[in-house]
Amino acid sequence: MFNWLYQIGEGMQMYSRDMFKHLCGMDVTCSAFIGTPYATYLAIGLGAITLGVLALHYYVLDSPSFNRYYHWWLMALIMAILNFAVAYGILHASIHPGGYCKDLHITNSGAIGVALFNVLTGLIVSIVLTWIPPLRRLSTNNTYTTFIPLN
Amino acid sequence: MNKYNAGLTFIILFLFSCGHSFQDDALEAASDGKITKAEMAELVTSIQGENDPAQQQLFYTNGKIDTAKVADYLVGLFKTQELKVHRTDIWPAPTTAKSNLAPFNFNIFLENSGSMDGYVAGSTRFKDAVYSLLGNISNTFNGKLNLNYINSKITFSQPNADANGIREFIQNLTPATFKAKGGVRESSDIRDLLHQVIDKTDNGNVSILISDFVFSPGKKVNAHNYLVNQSIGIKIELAEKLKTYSLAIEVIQMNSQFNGKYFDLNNTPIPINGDRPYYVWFIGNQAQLVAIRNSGIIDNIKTGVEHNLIFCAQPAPLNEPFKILYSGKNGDFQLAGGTTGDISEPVPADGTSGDFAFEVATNNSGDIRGLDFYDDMNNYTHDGNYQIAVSRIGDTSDVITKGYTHRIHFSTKSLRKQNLTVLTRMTMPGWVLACTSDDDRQIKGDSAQMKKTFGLQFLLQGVYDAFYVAPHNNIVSQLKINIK
Amino acid sequence: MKKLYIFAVGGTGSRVLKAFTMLIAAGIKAENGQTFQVVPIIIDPHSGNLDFQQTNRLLENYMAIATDIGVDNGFFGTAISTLRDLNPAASRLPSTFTYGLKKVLGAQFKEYIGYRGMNEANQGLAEVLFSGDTVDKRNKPINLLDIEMDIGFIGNPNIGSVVLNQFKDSQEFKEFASSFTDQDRVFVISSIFGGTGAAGFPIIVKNIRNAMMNSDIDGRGYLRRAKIGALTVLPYFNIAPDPKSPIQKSVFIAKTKAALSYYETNMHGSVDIMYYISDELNGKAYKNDPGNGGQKNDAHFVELAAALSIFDYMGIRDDQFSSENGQVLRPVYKEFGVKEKTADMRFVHLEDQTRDKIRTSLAQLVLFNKYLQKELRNTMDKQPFSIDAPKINAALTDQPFYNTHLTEFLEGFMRWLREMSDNKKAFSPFLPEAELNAIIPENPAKTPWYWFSKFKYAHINSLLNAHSKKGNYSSERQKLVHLFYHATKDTLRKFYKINS
Repeated sequence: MFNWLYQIGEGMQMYSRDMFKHLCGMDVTCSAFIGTPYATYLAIGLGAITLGVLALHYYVLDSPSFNRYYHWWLMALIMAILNFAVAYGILHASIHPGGYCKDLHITNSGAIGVALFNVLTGLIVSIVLTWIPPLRRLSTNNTYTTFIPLN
Repeated sequence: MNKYNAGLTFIILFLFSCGHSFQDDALEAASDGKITKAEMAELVTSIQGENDPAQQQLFYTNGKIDTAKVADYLVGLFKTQELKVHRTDIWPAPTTAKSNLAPFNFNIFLENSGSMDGYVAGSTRFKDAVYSLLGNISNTFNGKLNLNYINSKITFSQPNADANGIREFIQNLTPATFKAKGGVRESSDIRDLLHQVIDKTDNGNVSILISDFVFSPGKKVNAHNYLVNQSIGIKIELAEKLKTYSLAIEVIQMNSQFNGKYFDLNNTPIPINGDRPYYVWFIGNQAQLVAIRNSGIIDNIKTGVEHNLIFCAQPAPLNEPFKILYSGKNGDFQLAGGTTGDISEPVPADGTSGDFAFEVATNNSGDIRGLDFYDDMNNYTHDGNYQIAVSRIGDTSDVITKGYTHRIHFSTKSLRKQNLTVLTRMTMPGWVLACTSDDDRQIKGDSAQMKKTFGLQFLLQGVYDAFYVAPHNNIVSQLKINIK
Repeated sequence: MKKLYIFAVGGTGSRVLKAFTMLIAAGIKAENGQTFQVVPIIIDPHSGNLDFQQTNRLLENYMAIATDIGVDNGFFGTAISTLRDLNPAASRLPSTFTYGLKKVLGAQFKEYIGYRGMNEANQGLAEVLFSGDTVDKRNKPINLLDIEMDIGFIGNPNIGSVVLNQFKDSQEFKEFASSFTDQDRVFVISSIFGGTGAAGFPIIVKNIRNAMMNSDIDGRGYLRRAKIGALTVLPYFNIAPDPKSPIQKSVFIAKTKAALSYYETNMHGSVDIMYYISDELNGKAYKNDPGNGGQKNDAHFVELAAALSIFDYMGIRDDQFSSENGQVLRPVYKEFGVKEKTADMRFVHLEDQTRDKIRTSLAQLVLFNKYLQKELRNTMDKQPFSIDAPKINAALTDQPFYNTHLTEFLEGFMRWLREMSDNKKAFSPFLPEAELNAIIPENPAKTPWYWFSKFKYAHINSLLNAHSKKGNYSSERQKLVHLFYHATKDTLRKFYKINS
């Protein structure tokens, strides 16, 4: 379901086409795309972490002492670490022998590339979501908090 | 907060419902060591209606899901994960391949013309081989084993031989017995021989003809013309049978000591003592021949087989199952249509303008000719733009190529869109010509001639011509790959 | 809107009016939701009187603020107006809250009564009526007749009553009368022991009730049956003894008795509701100073309590008044009490009703002031409430609204609180200079235990941001005041646990 997203990362050459096929769910017998759909899981993890951290910052904590642009970057750093760890963790667990189609050439650096792609995507999504006013407006103390000082 | 909770739950459930995969579901279902009927039903539901050609190939037969295929796939899958779940643990239980074959009898025809005496003088490998073969047949098959001597007619029959009968038969394999059983022992009309034997061959009876198959045209006859006539006659004989019967013949060549009179092309007896070839022909319908080949009665002949050659009727080229592999590639490509589909978006190797290579696994186990046929590069023809290299798949534990017998490696230096075709053709193998003698008058003392059989080529060419006719002539199988 | 004319007579009148202004600025309103437009009229010839000057300035600032931001709010939520502004097109009055007594500036009393022009018999009468000694504004002993009146009547209501009678002929009275309607009310604040107040109160009431006889006055029918309330402040402070001063504490009590008996005879039936308040005379003694600069007394709790009577008066329903032919049929007399008298009073010593009326509002204003002093510079342009339009930023704090009117008003308010807390008897419910969470000693601010942080400005910022999101403001000035009203109210409720 989220193969299109990771096709972008493959187009940016952050990881190989073989890794992309693995993400799309090539099964361990290299027969069809009926294996674990890692792209979907990674995208869900990405979405949950990105939206979760944003929601935590803007709606749960929503503190007037934590609403400057550098606080935004602090949360972005936390989000990046989480995105990286979760994505890398999921993928790394899958690239053991027997865990993926042998004909695909998959390496640890590919897993790192995918994790970095998740970090980058999370960052871009955060920037966009916090730049457009309507979502910020749902907050109370962070209505003017985004990645740059707003006034 | 409530509406947030509800929305969040909905989103999570929705997303995770897209996170299923057949593979993961199967592994989870197998965690208890078996796949029950209910679990199989659930798995089937998840692949129901899939239009993906790869899944169609994997799981469907004639447009419907084949649970046996699913089970086979699962076996391979579980093996990769080192799960101790075997085929018998998976519903449905494997059906023993019910053989549609009607039980059949074996009619052994041992030619007892004068030229055969040398094989049965004393203790020879000939006797050992025949004894071994008969024993194998008796141990492996349930049908009756009928033993016969034949020359111009059937001169002796021992129907339904048991172990004692076989032993007795072998013990009686002596020149004296041959002589005693009579018939026209002076010359062999091979065509006539074949005619008698083929007559006795039907869906309930397989014929096994044992002979030296040496033509003896005689002094007054032009040897060449004789051979040609025989060849044509044999062809007509077999072609006639082929009209109504799915005939298949396996010819095996073995060697034995020969101590006796050899009758040359002039039918002049020449006493010789040494190793000489002889032949056993297995004649039946395709299914019987497949059963015989698979049973191992031929492979288990004690003395061993020198060469073999298989003929079978084939109305159209076989389209054997194949799977395009990801391994061994040079450059890159997509398989939009699955592993049996077209090669799409091919890209040459980095740094080259057109270097491209890929591999295809083929499953030739269904062909009666056996895997050796497909090992022989000489049997393959293909489009010019590609080089091919064929190898047998040795590692049967490799799940990726499980169920496939050969790997064909295609490579080219100029990648372009094209439709690739690879054909295998039935050609007369080299040993036939090598073992053919065209003048056996000086056989005594000529060790090379001792190994040959006069007129063998004409004999087998006649058979060949009967089986391989237009329009497809001798194309055995074809493989088509489209590079888009 | 119906009007309440408040006649604040003399020094006490000014000080009670000041207290009243502080209370309405804090957002205190009458019971029963009755709203009045307040028209203060200060009557005190003692124009150099510091109290008077302070009160006037306070009222000007208040009016400037309220006019700018409107009165549909908590803070500054009661409209006030000068007499002139009731009808600016036709008024001939200056825009001021004071009634300038004519011919008192620099004049001696004997000039006022035209002593020189009297015949000998009348002069003799005058000397008898106005006998006695006093001191002038330079503390030199003089004859009563020689008093220079611009320092008030220094404890001589007999002089005051003569002079103040001019009021009925004044332009102020005329315009007061013509603007007075049936729905309006009058309230007179005076002291019973001073000179100006003691004299002024009965004169004003008499002039109002007898307005029918004055042909120059419009609307006199309304005046005759006007609803009138009055507050008389009995002695409540101690004066240091000074033999040279014409004002003596010992004389206070005598004069109180004399005035009360006069009221009993002559005021009964003229005033609908009469409020009394007093305190013992054994507190901290004030410097005895009749002169220019005047009796500058620190603000006292009694003045605050006295001002509460105005709210009580405003809250009485119209149907509870009844009069006939200028006579009040059911006059009511009220007094003020506290729960516990101590030398240092706080909210806990007040009756619950009093406490509930004033505690939250005063605390709100204290909090408002503290925030503006300590925190506003830190949060301007950083918190959403300041960034949302209309913006609260340096442009606002540079405006006269902020750096003159509001700042001066709040400084005056804090000074008023300080004076009350330094006084004897003290009223010190607040510690404005303490840490934020300790400004109300009886109610320290606390956060829930699971927040793991103590109360600070950030928590107020959160409330400010929340209210700013909901609000709709016409200007940044209005936003400032409205926002802080709501935010301070919520702050007190959530953290200081003050709900009323």
